Amino acid sequence: MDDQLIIAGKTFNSRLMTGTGKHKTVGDLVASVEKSQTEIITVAIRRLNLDNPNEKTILDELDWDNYQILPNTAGSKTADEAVFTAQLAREVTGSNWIKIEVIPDPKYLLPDPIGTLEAAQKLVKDGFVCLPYMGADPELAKRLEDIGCATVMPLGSPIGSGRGVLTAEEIQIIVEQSSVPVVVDAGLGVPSDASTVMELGADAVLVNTAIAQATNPGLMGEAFKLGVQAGRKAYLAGRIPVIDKASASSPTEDVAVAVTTSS
Amino acid sequence: MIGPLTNKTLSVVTDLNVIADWNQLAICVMASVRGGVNLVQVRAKSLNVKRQRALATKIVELIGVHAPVVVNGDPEIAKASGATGVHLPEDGTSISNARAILGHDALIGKSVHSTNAAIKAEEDGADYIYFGTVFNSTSHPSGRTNGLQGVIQTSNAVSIPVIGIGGINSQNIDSVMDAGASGVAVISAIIGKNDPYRAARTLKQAMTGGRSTAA
Repeated sequence: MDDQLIIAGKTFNSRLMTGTGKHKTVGDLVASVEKSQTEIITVAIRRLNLDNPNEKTILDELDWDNYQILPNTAGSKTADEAVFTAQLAREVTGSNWIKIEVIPDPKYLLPDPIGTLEAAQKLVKDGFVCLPYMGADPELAKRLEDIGCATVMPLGSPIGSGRGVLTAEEIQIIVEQSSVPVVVDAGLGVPSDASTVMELGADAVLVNTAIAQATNPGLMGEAFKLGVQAGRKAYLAGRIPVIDKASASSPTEDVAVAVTTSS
Repeated sequence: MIGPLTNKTLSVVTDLNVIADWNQLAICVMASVRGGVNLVQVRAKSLNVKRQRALATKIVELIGVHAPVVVNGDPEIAKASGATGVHLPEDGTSISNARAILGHDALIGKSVHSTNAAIKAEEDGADYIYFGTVFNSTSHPSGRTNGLQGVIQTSNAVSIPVIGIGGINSQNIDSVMDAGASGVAVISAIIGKNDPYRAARTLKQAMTGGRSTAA
């Protein structure tokens, strides 16, 4: 059965997007990318490391012919900064895909809804394929879709927190209302979190910290792949309704009754 | 020398008269780097020292990981901005002074307008020279030009990379390379173009000739 993810006309077999930040070694990064079988990888357009100006950039580490690069605007506190970072990222990577992040608050790293919408408006007009990171707000999701974003990316819980899915009800509403893919981004800690949102009907997830900071990132990448696949299959299979009382698994009527015969 | 110059150096020089907005300038320069520019010179003589330093720092921060950046004029600004090196005007600070400030590994270039000045720059320890004016250009419409003969003569006289500048475009770039240059520098052929990526790529693809220099 064909069950592919389509974003802005491009088709993907994997519904697991990954990030490149926070990996301890390049080997870990490469292993997690390979084992997770991700096809969409987000990268911060890193600025020069003045302590080590000869350090390779992430752009040198992977064969980008095999992946959809998704530059992000990490580090942008305002819409204007995000627009500039996006325009620069397009020139760095040659890709017009952009994950919009407008995050003024360093403590909880929560996205600014107004700044995100403003940046998305400008970037859609400028020809970008926009994937905005956002709070799990169904009204904002509608607005972002209306102005032409390619996906919406509601958060599960704060970035890097590993707290899992604290926004399940909102995500469910967003899934119900959206006609663009819903990608749950941020906060997922373990594959069952990914599975949970996929069961709710999310189209994909984006996982960075939970893989990058795992003791064995390659293995965790593979585990997330399986979690996403399991959740997706469960969604497609159609779950049973939740009811209050038990419903016995074994039939209780018309069953053969053992008869004791005495001799 | 740190050795970022290849035998096909395509250098872009910033021009705030054409693009005054620093963000737009950075985007244009980045696009040109993706198109093949491999030496960026930040020239912003119209700004005061503080603003020059701020612009240089920004360009180094945004572009420096992708291409070497040299700052025109003041070695102190080059140092403060974290640039790869400095590009000295012909009448500017001495190479030895720049070297003392920036150290052995910095890339130090110099603009020269004659073969004798090129020889002197090499003796003084320059890593490369800009040699011009090769052809009349929009920034030097009717000045004295050295032409391709000057490029041939200078390229034969020095062993450091000779980068031609002045009126070079995709039509005449190969003639400059064929005359023995190791590269060319441009301003208007990239800065202010609608598609600086394509402009740089077209220039780079047209650079088929050229002398090989040790990197």
